[in-house]
Amino acid sequence: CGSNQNSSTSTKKLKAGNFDVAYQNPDKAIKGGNLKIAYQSDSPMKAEWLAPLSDDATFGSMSSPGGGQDGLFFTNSSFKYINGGPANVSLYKDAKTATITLRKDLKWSDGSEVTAKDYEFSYDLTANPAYGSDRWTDSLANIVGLSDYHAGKAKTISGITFPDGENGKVIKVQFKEMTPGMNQTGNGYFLETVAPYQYLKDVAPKDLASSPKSTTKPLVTGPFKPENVVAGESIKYVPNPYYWGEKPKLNSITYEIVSTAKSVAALSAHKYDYINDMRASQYKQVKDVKGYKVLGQQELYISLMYYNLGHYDVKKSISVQDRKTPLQDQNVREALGYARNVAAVQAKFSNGLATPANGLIPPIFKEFTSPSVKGYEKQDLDKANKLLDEDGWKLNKSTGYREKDGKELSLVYAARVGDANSETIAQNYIQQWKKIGVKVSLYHGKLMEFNSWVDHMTTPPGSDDWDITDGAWSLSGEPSQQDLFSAAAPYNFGHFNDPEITKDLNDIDSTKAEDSTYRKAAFIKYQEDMNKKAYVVPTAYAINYTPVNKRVVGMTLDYGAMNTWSEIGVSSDKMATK
Amino acid sequence: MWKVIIRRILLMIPQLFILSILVFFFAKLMPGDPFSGLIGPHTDPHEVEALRRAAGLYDPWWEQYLRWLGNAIHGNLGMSYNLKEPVMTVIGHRAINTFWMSLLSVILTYLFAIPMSIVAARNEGKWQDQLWLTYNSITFGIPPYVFYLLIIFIFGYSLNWFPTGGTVSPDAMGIIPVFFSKIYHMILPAFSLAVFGTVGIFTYFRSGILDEQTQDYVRTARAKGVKEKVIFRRHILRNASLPIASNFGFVITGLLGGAIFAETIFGYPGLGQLFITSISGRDYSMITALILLNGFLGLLGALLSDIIMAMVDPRIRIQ
Repeated sequence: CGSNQNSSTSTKKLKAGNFDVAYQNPDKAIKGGNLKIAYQSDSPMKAEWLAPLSDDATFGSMSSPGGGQDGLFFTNSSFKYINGGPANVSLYKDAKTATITLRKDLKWSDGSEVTAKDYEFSYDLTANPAYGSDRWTDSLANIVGLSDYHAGKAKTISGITFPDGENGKVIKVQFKEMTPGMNQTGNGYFLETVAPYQYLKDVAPKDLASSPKSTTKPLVTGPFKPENVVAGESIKYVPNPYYWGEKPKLNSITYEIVSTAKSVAALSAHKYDYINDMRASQYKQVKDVKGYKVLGQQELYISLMYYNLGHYDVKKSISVQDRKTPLQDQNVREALGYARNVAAVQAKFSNGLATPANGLIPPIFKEFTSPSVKGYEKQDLDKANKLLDEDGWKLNKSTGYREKDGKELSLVYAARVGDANSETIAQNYIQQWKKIGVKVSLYHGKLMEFNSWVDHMTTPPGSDDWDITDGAWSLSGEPSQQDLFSAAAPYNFGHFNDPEITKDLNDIDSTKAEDSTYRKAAFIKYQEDMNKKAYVVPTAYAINYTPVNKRVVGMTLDYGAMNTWSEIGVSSDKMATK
Repeated sequence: MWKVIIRRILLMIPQLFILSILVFFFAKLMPGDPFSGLIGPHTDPHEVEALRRAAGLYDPWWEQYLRWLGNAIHGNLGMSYNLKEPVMTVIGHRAINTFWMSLLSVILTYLFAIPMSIVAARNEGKWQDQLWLTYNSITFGIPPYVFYLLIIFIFGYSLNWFPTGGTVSPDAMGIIPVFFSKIYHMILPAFSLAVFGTVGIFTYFRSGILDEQTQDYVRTARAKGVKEKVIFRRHILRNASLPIASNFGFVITGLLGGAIFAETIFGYPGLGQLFITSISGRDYSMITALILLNGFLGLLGALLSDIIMAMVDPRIRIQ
């Protein structure tokens, strides 16, 4: 079976940290074979094949051989839409429209045609409250008539029309405004999935989420179709005879849930070809399991440190930066950032699966960021001390802490419970801050439980009892951070409000930014300004990893790989054990 | 006796009522709610607010409670926030899994524990006794999940004899293959529960036998020349079974209690696993229903135990 002499003939030698993104198996795939995949989770999967009704990330992955809950668009490694998938999308900036053209041979797995109506049905599922979806977002209100439909003021969605009829293959979506992010997947301005209207139209809306037609006997559009769905546990896939694209090599795929307690043992016993969603803390055990090659990929993820600077005015939907705190001084914010030893923490605890962040845009968006952005990734205590000195914070030698106008520089750190290392890491930062004379104590003397933390941070107008906290976000394929840091952004936990940053953010989404060089420059300026002003301080980027059995051929974690399920195969009927 | 049983059943109503108030109140005290986990950069907080409002989470807790009670009386325990299915439907599906696995484990537990206790008691102080005492001390003293992992590792991964998770293979289709696949999937968790769950029965039964062996009626029987085997089978064993019988009502209702550790580790979607995921997801409607179900089973178990005792022990009458 496979060996380690991979990538020598590779044309695509993508790397994420020290990891290969794709496995270049020198062996050839056999005809047929059964691929066994597991998703690591301690909760049962919630099979829900209709994207607007599903919010289970586990199932999001487990549904991908069937077409990923019927996704329509192919994208490249930079998350931009490309032609050639189930549908093409064209954006018309002057007319403020998008035209979505389904491929002529796009069919459901029962052989029926995928129609324009099926695309509109996804909006119905999302916007009609009768279906109980929780996927409605502000961005969708940018489609003409959709918020009226959502509010029950309109019976139809005026902004979605079918130039060649409901049963045709073309859909026109009318927007109120166009933004440059619209050509990136996950932008949220329009939906990217279809749902089989004819198959589902007779199911009562309130029953749809639990109907067998959307849970165990779905129609799909992908290369495989589910032959058997065991509620909560597993899915068996067989090739979908009506798939429009390249026929899959495999005879079948089984996709199961494996609990965290068992996953490493399952890998050692060669039970699975690969396991998704392995934890960073398991990496040390996983990396030496015989018969597996560990692949890695940059995550769409950023973790960061927030400073509490204001509150959220609910009536005006805007952040007001009015809190009385030493953190209003830029020097103090910067100093706290420079005092953190992020690189040392990552080196010690992340097993190479996290890297210090130089800016707020992860490096996977290479078209929008640059390693040249200067951040806080290296500890610099001298600089931190100098910043505080300049700002008039004098060290009181008897206490070891700095003071100004008789007041000690003392802050509260609302650190969250995460994994087993969370407390150690929080205490370590507190020690680093002590080195520059800043007294930091944990919120109520301990870490915050996650749900309490979410409540505390997201309930407007925000509270005055913390100064520093950590946050982390999963990002979509459209990296604009309006939703995180604009003046109106409700999840701007620290509630800073700076016209310059607002201008930077608006620039990223301006019409000028339709030019990609301009947009990249705008993104870099935004990150530099954010680092300079230090309202938040980027902490780390993450890498996820997947151990892949060496019998697997054609496995890749490349975000731009669109035909993986057709191309993936195995080189032997038996798992590789060496 | 019937009067008493009916009275006891009627008494359950206020007991469950008080339990439901407590559960409802304490569930609301937990930080977060079913929608806390929904936020993402693109989530509209107004939408989350609207979902919370629609679910009535901003009403005073007693108002929410009365609404829930009104529905519950009509047999509607609400929708699961996280699974978007009626609570009763979800519990129904999971209960079937839990019931069959528990039944198998109970049968196996008795099959292991009873002979074990008899052998130990008959050989009091000898190596057989020491062996089973030690065995039960170990299985009682070490957290069961350690053993479950060990069993999975040995029988699932090393020897490859049994599946290690789930209730049925995705390859099984058709009634008969599914039936056998379900049994096959049940064996390992049920066996683990049984092998490491003998201590209760063993302790009661062994000491019951030892106690009865020294009773006057046994001495009398011996003096009358009754054969030792007959004394043991007819007299000692029957009387020593009483403590076990007194617990049997709980065993029956416990079939639906759900084994939290075993179900989570084996990835066996039953009521125990549902309980844990509901708590971590703040699925209020599900938590309330499950705790009430367990409360009801507890009360029913006590009643059944009393009835069983009255049936097997002529000295006891329910009054």
